[in-house]
Amino acid sequence: MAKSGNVNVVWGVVAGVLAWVIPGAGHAFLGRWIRGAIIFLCINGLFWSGVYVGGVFTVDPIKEKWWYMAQMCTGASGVYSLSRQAAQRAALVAEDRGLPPETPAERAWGRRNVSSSDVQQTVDRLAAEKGLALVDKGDQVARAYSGIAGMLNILCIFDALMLGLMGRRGEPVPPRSPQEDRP
Amino acid sequence: MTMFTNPVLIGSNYLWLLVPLCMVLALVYKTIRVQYLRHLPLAVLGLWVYILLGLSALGAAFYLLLEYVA
Repeated sequence: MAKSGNVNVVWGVVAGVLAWVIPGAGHAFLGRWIRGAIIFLCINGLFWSGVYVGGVFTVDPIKEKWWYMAQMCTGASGVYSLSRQAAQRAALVAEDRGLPPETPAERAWGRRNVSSSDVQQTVDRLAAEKGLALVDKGDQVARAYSGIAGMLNILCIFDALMLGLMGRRGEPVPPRSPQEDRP
Repeated sequence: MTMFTNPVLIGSNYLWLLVPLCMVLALVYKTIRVQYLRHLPLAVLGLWVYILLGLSALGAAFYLLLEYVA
C-alpha cells in the first residue's frame, strides 16, 4: 500500500541519485519494484542497443557534446561507455605514436594529451581505418537511441525524486469500485 | 568484428527503427505516469499508436510541404 508522509529530503535525494546511477533503482528503493524493473530494462536496453549499432565511439564528448550530455544521464552505463571510448581513443593515439598502451594511472592523471583537435584528426583517421568509426545513418540511430535513453532517465530521476520527497513508498492500491478504477 | 566496439551496418530501412524506439518511449513514460500498474499495457499501447500516427502525419505534412510548396 502506498504510504505518504511529510517532506522527506533524504529519501528524495537518495532516490534521485539511485535513479541516475542505475535506471530504475530509485523506484525500486521506493518500493515500486515492477516499475523499477521496467525502467531498468527499457533504458539500459535502449542505450546498449544504440552502442551496439554505433560501436565504441557512440559516446563522443568531443564531437557530439549534446548527445554526450544526454548519454551521461543513463548513469553507470554512460560512464562505462565513456571509459571504453577514452581507452580506445588512447590506444589509437598510442599506436600512431608508437607508444606502449596507456596505463590506467596515466589515463586517470591525463598524462597523455589525447583531447586536442590535432589529435582528433589522428583518431578519426585511425578509427576509419580500423572500422571503428560510425557509419552513415548508423550514427544517427546510435546517438538517437543512446541519447533518448538518457533523456528518458531524466524523467525517471525526477519522478523518483518527487516520490521520495513526498514520502511515497510502495504501489498505490487500486480501488474496488469500477467507477474509480479508470486509466 | 567485435560487438559493441565496431559499428554495424543497418541498411537503408533504418527509419523502421523508430517503431521500437517509440514503443520504449511510451513504455517508460507510462510506467512513471500511470497510477495503477494494471492500466499500464493499454495505456502504453494507446500512447505508442498515438506517437506513431503523429510522426507519420508530421512526415506526410513535411513531404507535401517540400514537394508542392518549397
